[in-house]
Amino acid sequence: MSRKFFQLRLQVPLDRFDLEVEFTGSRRVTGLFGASGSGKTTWLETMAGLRRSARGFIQFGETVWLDSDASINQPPEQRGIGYVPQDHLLFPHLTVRGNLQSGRQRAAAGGHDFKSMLEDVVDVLELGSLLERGVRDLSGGERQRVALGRALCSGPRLLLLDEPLASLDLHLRQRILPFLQRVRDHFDVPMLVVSHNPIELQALCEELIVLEQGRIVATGEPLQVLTRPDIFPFAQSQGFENIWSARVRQHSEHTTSVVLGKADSPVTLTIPRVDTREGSSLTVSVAANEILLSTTEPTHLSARNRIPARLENLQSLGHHQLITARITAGLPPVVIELTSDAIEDLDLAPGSSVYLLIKTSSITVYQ
Amino acid sequence: MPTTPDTAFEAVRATLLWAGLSTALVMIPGTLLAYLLARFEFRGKQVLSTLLSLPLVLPPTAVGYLLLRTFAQQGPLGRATLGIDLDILLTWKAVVIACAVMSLPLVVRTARVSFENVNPRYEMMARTLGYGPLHRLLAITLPLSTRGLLAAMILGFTRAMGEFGATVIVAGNIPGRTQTLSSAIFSAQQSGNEPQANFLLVIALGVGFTAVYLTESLSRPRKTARP
Amino acid sequence: MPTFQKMKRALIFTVLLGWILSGSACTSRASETVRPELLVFAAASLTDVLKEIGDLYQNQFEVDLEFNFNGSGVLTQQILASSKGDVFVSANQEWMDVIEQAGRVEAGARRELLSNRLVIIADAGSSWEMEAATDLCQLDFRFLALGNPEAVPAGRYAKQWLETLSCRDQGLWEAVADRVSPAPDVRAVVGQVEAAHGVLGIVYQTDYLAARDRIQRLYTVSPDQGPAIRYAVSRLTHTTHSQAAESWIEFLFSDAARTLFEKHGFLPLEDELPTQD
Repeated sequence: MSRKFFQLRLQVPLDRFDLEVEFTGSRRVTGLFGASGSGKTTWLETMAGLRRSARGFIQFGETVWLDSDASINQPPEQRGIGYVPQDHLLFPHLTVRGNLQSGRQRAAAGGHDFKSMLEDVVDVLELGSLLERGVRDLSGGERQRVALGRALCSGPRLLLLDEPLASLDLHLRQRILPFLQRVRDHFDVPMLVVSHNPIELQALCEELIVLEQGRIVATGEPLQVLTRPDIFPFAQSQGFENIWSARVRQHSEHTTSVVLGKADSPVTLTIPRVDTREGSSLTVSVAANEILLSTTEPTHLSARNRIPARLENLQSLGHHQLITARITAGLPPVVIELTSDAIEDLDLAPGSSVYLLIKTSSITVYQ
Repeated sequence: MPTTPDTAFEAVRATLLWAGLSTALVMIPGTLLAYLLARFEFRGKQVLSTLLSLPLVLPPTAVGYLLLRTFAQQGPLGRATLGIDLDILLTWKAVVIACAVMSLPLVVRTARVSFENVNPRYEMMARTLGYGPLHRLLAITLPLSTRGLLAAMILGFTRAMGEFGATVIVAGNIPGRTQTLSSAIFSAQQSGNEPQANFLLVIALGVGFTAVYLTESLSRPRKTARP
Repeated sequence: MPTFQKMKRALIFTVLLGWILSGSACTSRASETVRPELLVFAAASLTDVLKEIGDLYQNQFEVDLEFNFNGSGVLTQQILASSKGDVFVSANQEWMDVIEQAGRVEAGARRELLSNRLVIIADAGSSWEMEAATDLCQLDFRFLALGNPEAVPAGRYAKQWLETLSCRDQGLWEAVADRVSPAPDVRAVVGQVEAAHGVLGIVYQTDYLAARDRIQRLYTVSPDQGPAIRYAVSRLTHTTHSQAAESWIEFLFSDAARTLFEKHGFLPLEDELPTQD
């Protein structure tokens, strides 16, 4: 019983090639992954109605936004989208509150109770202390949150996010990703996220589309798509990491212990010390080439994390191999990248039992 | 003839009032036209732009005669054609109309440049939030171009203050009725009344200087411009 | 957008205020007085003298005068285009003819009011002298400034006069034509003569008298020598105050008025019977 959120068939002329795609979106949160210039932003802008030269067909829900054969091309103001561009475009003559309120008319026309929606958004995105400030002096992360908030407060039928974390440094990315997750979880609005960074797509999306030179080369569940041998090298180069949801179990003097996954599973991970209270949720990640494997239980080792797992799959990438290993059934498979030499030396094969060795310092925390 | 300050002040007061009315008359259509020219493409755009520039290019007396013919009894807006007498010619209304016509091109030009300097992406963002064209103009473009519009208004006002050639033809030069500061200077010069002419000239200079000074300081970028 | 609201409010306020003020300006005039108001179209050269005569008149009579001073050509166009105006004083016959042919002159109500003299002027420091008009043939002036003969009555008369004279082997007008500087009005002629060296000018005696501290008169054209300069006055057909208009015109022929005309250098004409032209 899959709902059809949108379906499209596009042909948009670009500089060096045309964007030619055909897709039906059946998950609420969809991601678009590809290199710069692959056509991702064009796709987004076309859905927003900002590319008047686009030809084809777009239907969102029950509404036809574009139908070249029937000469239908609804202007952006009638599509009900919440657009969060890379440069945020906060209105400089309005305060943060003013920006958040700029979509009020449409929200009210759509039957939303604007006042409570505003309160909700301010709460989720922690904008309370920023409300009366002008936008010129905001930091990158603050701008991002305000831009998100403005889009949400306009009662959109679809949220379009263009590289939401691209303009932020690592530290800010760690802080803002949880806000995006909160938005996804708290508001029931469909989202289309465009990014060249796999992490935000893995952390947010239910379905991922990979674009190359204006064509779709893969669609599917994010982890599956990204670990395809033809796609993984590029994903790796763009910062692919293993991502897990976790809950804080207890703090020690120098580290924090978290529980991975949603269920009350016995898999714990030692991560760098954080300040959130026990029981709170966060997201952690570790790069595929930061995980060591051992075929025997390691002792006298500095790595704090030694997790038993079973190998599922090995794929060759030339000099490297891409390995997926399963810790428990409740967690997504772990992706590890090793040299082919190491695989041979350890005589690894699907089904082998291994220990995953992860340094605390290799773990990135998003909160 | 001795200088009569009361005629001078009467002329100044009247001219200020009429220039103000003329500016008020011109600002709204001028702003809308400027927005149209700045943000939209349509057939006849060049023609419209050219027509609007005509009063700048034609000799003022030519514009004055055109207006005279338009409002003449037998003209397109005269009593014979419309059935009612608008009573424009040789009244203060003609002064305001002449000043408005002569200052419109300046206002449109300045406002248009001011709008073109507003990043169109802000208007694009407003579109995605559901704003129609008028709403975008009022909520985004205008507030982001207030300084430029203020400059346009002052420029229009200054032009109206100094308007003579067209006004004197369509409104006449009737002291106490349609005599402006400019036509008062003209009369004083015509009758060889140097002291009066000079006195009025100084006032005109003062007004003009103040207005241009204000416009200049508005055009200067803000001191708090961020990188 | 507080700035924008302020602007909107300021604009609305200005318009309302302007409306109120101008409205009150008009009504206060009307309610203040029951005296009839005459709109007098008069040639610009009569600005000072008519104002003085007008002040006298308004003190004696229960009539208010409003003057519209401009070039006779402009005045003619204004009269034809509007239905306004009670009296027209034109700087020459030709413009009055136009008005009459358009049927705007009250039958039998056209009279010749004034004449003037042409004078030749130079700047105050000039050392030129003239005894006869034909001396112009020899004088080495750079420019001869006139009112534009196409539009300015004084300039047209000047040209007419020059055409009646001749130098040794050619007409005087032809001899000087290439040095003529046509000016938009007599004020400009005086200005050119005064400002540039080596410039002669031809203006009315009245203009010379008004600027006599800055220029000198070289030669006066006597009435029998020069063209018939005629200022005409008439009652216009659209006047709603025939009696008041007539009384004003009569006043222009009164002794008090004539004295003032003479003081400014005009030549009041004999109070003749209305002329037919």
